[in-house]
Amino acid sequence: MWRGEREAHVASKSESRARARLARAGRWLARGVLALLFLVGAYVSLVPQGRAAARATLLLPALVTQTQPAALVASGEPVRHTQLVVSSRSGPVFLDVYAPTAGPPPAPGVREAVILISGVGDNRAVPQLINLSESLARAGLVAVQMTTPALLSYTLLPADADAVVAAVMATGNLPGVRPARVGILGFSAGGALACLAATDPRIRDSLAFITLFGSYYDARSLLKDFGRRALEENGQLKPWHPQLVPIQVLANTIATTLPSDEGKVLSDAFAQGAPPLMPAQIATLSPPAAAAYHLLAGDQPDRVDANIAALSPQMQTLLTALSPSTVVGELQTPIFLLHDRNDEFVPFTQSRAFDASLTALGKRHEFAEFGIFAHVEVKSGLGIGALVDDGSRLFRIIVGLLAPAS
Amino acid sequence: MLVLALGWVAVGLVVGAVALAAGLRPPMWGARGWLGVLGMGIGAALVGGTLGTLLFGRFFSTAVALWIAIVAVVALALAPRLAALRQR
Repeated sequence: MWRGEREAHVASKSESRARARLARAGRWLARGVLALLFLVGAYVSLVPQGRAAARATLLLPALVTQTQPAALVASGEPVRHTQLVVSSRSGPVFLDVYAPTAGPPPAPGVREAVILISGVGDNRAVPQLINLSESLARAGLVAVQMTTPALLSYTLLPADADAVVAAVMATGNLPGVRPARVGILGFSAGGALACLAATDPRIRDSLAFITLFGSYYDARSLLKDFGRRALEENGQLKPWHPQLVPIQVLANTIATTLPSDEGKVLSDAFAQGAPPLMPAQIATLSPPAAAAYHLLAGDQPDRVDANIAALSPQMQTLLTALSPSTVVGELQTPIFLLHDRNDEFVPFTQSRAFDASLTALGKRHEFAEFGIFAHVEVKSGLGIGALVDDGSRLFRIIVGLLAPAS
Repeated sequence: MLVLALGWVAVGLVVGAVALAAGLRPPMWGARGWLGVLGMGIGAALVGGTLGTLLFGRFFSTAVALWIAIVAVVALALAPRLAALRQR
């Protein structure tokens, strides 16, 4: 009996000791949680890289899901949308400004601005672009969508680089923005204009960054890819079938070098639903126009080099003037290159070539290929694996883009 | 702004609760001391959130509310202990 009592006493004592140990461990665990939360809170608010990471954390889901997460709406700035028109040597530049209604906070005392060149066509009412612009503004940036009459009419002109410069300068003068905090995000054909503008002496030394998403590097090699209906990856040709829109853009662009009636024939040949030109119609075209037609139609894949050589001097000059490869040596700003691996508008090999040139020249840049986009738009119904893999790469790039804001 | 302030209150409540679990309750506050710690967490988070909005903008106000609330509850728990140490 006495022995049993002693055993029970020992058991209860060791049980209470274990409970005390557990409570002590719980207290230390809670202290660790407090310390961790403190470090996270201080890093996210006081350290510039932390602020950029916090912004990226809320912007990434906004980008991928194409809706603004509740946390971004609740904690973000109220946004005001205004429209401006500025003039450039190539004509009017239409700006849609999405900006926080309040002025910049004392830390860092200035806002970053991003100029979004959404490529050809009128994309100003496209929900994905509005969502991106509003999300950036909610995160404290000034997002400026820009376009020009040429871009609206699916045409790419070297003179529009001046429109980009005008947009950058106008944005640098917006309240709360400083020129050194202005960067450009060029989608598709807009990326080429961003590159051309980035070498302009008026903004070359102040531009914060340029980001090219689904853009081309060299217009002549792009035209070759269209002509072959194939892209060259690691020295091997692989079938590639472009969408109609980039063909239309190249047709409209090359048509600007032709007499108006011949230019119209070339443009109309690639209009939506237009049948291919008959041999008799092609025979009426000048040799350069016929060569351009075959390159765009992809009906002479074995004669691509001959057709490129048959382009007129004006066409050759235009292709050179529209190519970032022409100005790559003059680029001084940090460059981010993003490309969809299965892009049907611009082959991803264009960005690979750009990356190789920038690497060879020792220029500051970052390059990432993705599978979650279709050209420059987020695909729907993505698997978690693809999202995690591409999402982490995208996150790193977004943090880099947001550094000037922080 | 109301939603944001409610968020700060939630942050303060969580910080207060974790502080209680961490044993950061001033002994002299008696049986109702836990209420004081929670209230301190909420109050400090509201002050921190307001300061954060003024200094860093709305976007970072919740992060500021978080670390200021933690500083406040830890300081609250450590102050009497430091005072006792000094008296010794």
